[in-house]
Amino acid sequence: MNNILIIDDLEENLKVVEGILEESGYNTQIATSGKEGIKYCQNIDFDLFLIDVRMPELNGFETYQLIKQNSKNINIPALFFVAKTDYENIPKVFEQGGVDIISKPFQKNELLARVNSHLEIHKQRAQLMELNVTKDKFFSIIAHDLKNPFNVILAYSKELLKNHKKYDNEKREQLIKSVNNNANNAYKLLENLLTWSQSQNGVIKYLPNKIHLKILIFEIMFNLKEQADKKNIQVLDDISENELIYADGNMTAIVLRNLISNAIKFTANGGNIVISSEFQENSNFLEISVKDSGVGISKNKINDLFSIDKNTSTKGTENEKGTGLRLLLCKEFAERNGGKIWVESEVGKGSNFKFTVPIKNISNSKK
Amino acid sequence: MENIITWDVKYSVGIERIDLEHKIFLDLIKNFQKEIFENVSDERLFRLILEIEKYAEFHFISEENFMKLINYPKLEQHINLHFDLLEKLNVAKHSNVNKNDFLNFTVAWFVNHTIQEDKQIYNYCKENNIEINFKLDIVNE
Repeated sequence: MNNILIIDDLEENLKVVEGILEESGYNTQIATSGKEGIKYCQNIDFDLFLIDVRMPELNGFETYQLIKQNSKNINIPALFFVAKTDYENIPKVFEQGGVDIISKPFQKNELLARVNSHLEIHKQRAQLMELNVTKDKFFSIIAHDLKNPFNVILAYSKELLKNHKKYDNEKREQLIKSVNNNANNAYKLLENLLTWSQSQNGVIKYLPNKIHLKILIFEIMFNLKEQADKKNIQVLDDISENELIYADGNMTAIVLRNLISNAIKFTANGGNIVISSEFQENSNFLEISVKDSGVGISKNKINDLFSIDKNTSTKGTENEKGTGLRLLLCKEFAERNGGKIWVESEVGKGSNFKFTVPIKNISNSKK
Repeated sequence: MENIITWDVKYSVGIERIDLEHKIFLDLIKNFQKEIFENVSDERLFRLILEIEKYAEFHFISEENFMKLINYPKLEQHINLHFDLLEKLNVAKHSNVNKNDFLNFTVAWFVNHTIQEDKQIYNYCKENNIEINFKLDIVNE
């Protein structure tokens, strides 16, 4: 629900506006001075500001400039109350960065329509910014991460073509292995990239079903076993036999596959990984956990892990490369299943990635 | 139905054009009272409130133009009073479900502002020997 902050020194007007907005289902917070309003902005995230221009001490414009000093408020739309005949201040509203005026006196429906429009514009603007970040991420992956394995494949295969007769068997096998490894990496990345782009475009449909968790994990582990064996990592499946979830099977598999694959990547030779589940009391969710004995994640990195514009890739214990795309996919699909994803981690001790999935049909999941 | 307010010489601020506009304003208020008494529809009353609102805006600008003409020293203060009045009108029209309350508000609004504030404009002109020539020709034709 949308949060609206109303600042006006005239308490009767605050009551009128608050009444109209609350009646239409908005959350409102009122402040009788600029100073009080600024204080609320520090602790509460608002979606829109309604500020009276004429106020004693801090006027509406001064108040708004101070509110904007906090970068989280820079893009929040501000509408200003101006007396109908205040022709000096009406243009000033726009010069000061206001998006619209609400004249006093106003009509009730006009107030609601203006508030609605600007909330909608704000929402679309946020979506556009997100799409743009997605696009940038996409291009950066193609430009850097997808190019690297191809460089290796091209160079080594050229070398083999030219000199394969000169090399002994051992050297030849080494080069072919490199080509194969890089082709595998490129293919996995391409696969994730396609899945992700399809999910961004809304092509992937959410098709929930009853799923037997143990069987799903068995199938996933079948494909990851080689990767784990290479590093002598033991993956322990601690899920009880009859655990059922109600979710999209492909999406859940993508989350689990990427979390387990990540755990292997960040766990040193000989370590272990435990997959377990726990029923969340008083809810319809099962909490699934992928815990490793790996390198762990520092506190300042944890917050950026699932954020598309901040997340970056970290090399694995054996220099395994990544793109930061995996965790974005995990977040995307955990949320489309109606659940959440988070991580508990300590540097040097390992990470515990957890996500929730519904155990029965719930209607609030994103379709 | 007892008339809620009638034009009286005690409301005269001594400036012809302003007095004329005040008379029209009172006429709008009286008409609003009459129609409440006749139980007209809410939609009709809403339109009449709009008329009062619009006329108040027009009248304030007229007064402000005259004050600018005579370099009235308390111009800015008076303009701010007009803004306050419009803010109060806004509150009154949204908070009074009972239209009689809105009516009483407009009457009190008119009486206080005219007697206390508008008359000071006239006094300033007299004290400074400013010739008052602010009228509409149409009245004298």
